[in-house]
Amino acid sequence: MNILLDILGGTFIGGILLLLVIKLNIFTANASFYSDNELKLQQNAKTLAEIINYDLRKIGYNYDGVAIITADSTHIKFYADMNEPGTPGYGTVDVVEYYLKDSTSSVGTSNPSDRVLCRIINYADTISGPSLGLVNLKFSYLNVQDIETTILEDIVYVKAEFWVEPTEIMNNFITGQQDSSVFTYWELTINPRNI
Amino acid sequence: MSGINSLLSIAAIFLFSLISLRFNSVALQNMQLEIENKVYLTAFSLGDDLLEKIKQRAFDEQTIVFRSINPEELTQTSDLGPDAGENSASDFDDLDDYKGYNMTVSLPHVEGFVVQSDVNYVQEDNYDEISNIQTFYKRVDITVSSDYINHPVHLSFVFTLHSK
Repeated sequence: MNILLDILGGTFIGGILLLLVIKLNIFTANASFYSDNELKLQQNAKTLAEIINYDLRKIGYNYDGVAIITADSTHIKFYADMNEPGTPGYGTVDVVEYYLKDSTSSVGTSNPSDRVLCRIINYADTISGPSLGLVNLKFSYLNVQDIETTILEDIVYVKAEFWVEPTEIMNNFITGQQDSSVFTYWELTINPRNI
Repeated sequence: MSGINSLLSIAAIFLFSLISLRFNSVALQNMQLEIENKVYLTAFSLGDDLLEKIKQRAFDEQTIVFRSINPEELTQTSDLGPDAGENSASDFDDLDDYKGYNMTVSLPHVEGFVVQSDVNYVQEDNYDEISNIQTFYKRVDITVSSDYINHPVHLSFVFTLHSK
């Protein structure tokens, strides 16, 4: 009887330990996935910020006149010479356009809300890469007093705000539920020197 | 179950609990660092935003309309700061108006960032040293702090008269 009790007790405790080990392994995998996603989120936000920062800084470069053509919350169009001195195309003013496509444009990601930011140069050269998890983008335009304006010639600052979520739907590794609160927000205000 | 077996089982569970606890605390620290990093990135962004706005201002009250000027004609060190009638940032017309300026910014993912700025003349041959007399160099120091980061973010930018 005692031996039977020993075997049963040992199996029970061993089973509990085994379950705990499995649970710990699942937790490790989820934590690692969550961590990678968070890192990717921050990298994507930084990449988007660098791209937007680089282009918007050139607004009005080599162009005389009102450089901004369209100033909308998700759409901006402007004149700028995008080529550096000494490179082909320098001296010719380009028309650069950024707009945010709708959420159906982003295929291949499981996040239903992510959208693609499209960059168009001279109405033809369309670049729209992966969504990078961008779910919303808002441009606002400020005058010299730091007040929002819609008057194109008064614009001195362009402020870009964007919200980035993971491209793949993920569950919170603690609650096990889909966690829509995982996102990164980024904002940058640019004062293009040529407007 | 014999006494020794029970003790071994309890020891195994105890050991495993310790390992689990340690692992949990490491995972939590990792998560905390990731979120803190996100707050740091935003803090840099806010500091840079303020710097962009300051770059739009004139070097000095006396050079809003640019002219040749001697250092001693520039705003005196004791008078750096907002001038009379300049009550908010929208009234500021030169960069030293931002001396002592501070604002609280709340963003969708973190609330209560405090952005502060300080402006001083610095020595011509050493931008790290604050000058007690007027020079052609003004250093703007921006500090962004938040309850969610361990150390405030500091950004500095040295403007010369010819910057603007």
